[in-house]
Amino acid sequence: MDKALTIKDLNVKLNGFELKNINLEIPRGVVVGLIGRNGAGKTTFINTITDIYLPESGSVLYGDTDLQIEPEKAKSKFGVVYDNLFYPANYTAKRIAKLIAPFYEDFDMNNWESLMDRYGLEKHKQVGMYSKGMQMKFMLSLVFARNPEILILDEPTAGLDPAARAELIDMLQEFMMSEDKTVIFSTHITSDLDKIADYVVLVSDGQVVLNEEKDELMMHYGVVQVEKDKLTPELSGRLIGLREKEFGYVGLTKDISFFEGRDDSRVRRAVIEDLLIYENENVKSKENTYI
Amino acid sequence: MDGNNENIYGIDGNSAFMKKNTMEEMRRCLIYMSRLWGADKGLLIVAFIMLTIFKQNSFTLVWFIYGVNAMSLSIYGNNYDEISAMGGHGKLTLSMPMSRKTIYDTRMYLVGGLYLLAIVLALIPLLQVGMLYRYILYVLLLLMGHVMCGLSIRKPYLQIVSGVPACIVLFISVMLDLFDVSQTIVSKIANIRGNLVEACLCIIMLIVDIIVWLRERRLFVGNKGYRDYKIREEISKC
Repeated sequence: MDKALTIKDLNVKLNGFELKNINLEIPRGVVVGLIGRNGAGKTTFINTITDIYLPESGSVLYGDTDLQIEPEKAKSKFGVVYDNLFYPANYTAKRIAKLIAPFYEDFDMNNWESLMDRYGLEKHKQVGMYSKGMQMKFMLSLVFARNPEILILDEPTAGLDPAARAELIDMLQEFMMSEDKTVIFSTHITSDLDKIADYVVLVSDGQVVLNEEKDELMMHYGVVQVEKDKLTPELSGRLIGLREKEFGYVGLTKDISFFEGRDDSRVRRAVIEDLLIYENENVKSKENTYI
Repeated sequence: MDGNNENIYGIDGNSAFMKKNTMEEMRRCLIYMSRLWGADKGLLIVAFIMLTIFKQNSFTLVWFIYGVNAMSLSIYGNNYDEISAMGGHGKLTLSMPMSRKTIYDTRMYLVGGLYLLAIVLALIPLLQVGMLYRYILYVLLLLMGHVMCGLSIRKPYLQIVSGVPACIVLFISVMLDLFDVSQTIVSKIANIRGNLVEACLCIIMLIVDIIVWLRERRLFVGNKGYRDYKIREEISKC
């Protein structure tokens, strides 16, 4: 399958933090949810694939374009929205659009203006005066106006109210209507991913510890409750992140079918949030598994 | 050709993007960087030129150094509180479709050009009153400022100390004027052929500046050399 993004043996060293040996292949036309606890390395990962941080080793390829060798070409393929406004806050929206437009061959100023009207944003207002939700819409309008192949979002829903989050998800779904568009979406608000993600990548302590299709995950993963006196080595061996509660034990299983219909335990299907809750070093998919 | 793609510089986006030569990319980067300055920096330059040429006021050099440092902040960082978080314009600049090499070179040529302008303009009032020693001192401090600009792009927190040369100029100028020792110093320097010594200092500082520039550029760009470039090229073919 045609790859939108290929990451090979990526290692990044920052002050006291490392991304270790990341290997990932993301096909075109999918939404990838990048999840992980705070400080797991999601933002470092996003910053590295967008050239904010230099990797120690390894390569990042957009299509067949290496970010290190042809950065201009590679960077023109993606649009990025970081968690905070990264444009000069005292500039008007129009001034910022004019500032960045010359760098992108496909930037369509008319399209951008119509997007701003549609989102109800004032073009001649300083962007620092926008609310958080408006800033997010503004940053997305700049990206959508040039129609990139890949959209990279770093915690875009953080700090947004539910209505604004729903609106953002709608905007992403609209973007995905065009064929071959790829979205990489970093978040710890996993309910957003339940709606739109095709694949889930779990980052923990600077490593990709899980990397699977969401539907497959939801089909096989479950949360199991076992009463205290019924926990056997056979059961505990099949549970990840086992925790002791008042009534017994709770853990995540990769094999929900094993627990279905048993008398000694109760099981429900896992949601993405459960991966974060029960995440530990045991939550690992096959070594070097690619999407 | 789609008129919608015509940008503010009157260049069609498609055709401009097709030109892959470095000069074109640097030109675009230069326009981008200059647009981050704002009117206040322009006023600073005009004020400096007016005061230096017409008022022959060497103190204006201090303001110029501050101005250049402020512009340096505008180009890469933003406000002091944002620098440590890699916020401000740094993130925006690096996410734009430009190579790190272009970003670094454009910034350093731009800042270097401004410092050169300061060096030339400072010559006018200072040489007229026979204060070569002070002129040399200013040149040294300007070169120091340039070194700091070169360092601060990779280590943004150093921008906090980039105003140090200006503070040194201000301090020395005030001290010399207050105690009226300038003539004594001039004569002493003349006696020991100090001009030659100072010129050597200038050359040393210039060499340091160039070494720092090249080293920091290499680290910022990320390539350790041609060999590293070839290895990456091979990896990308895999």
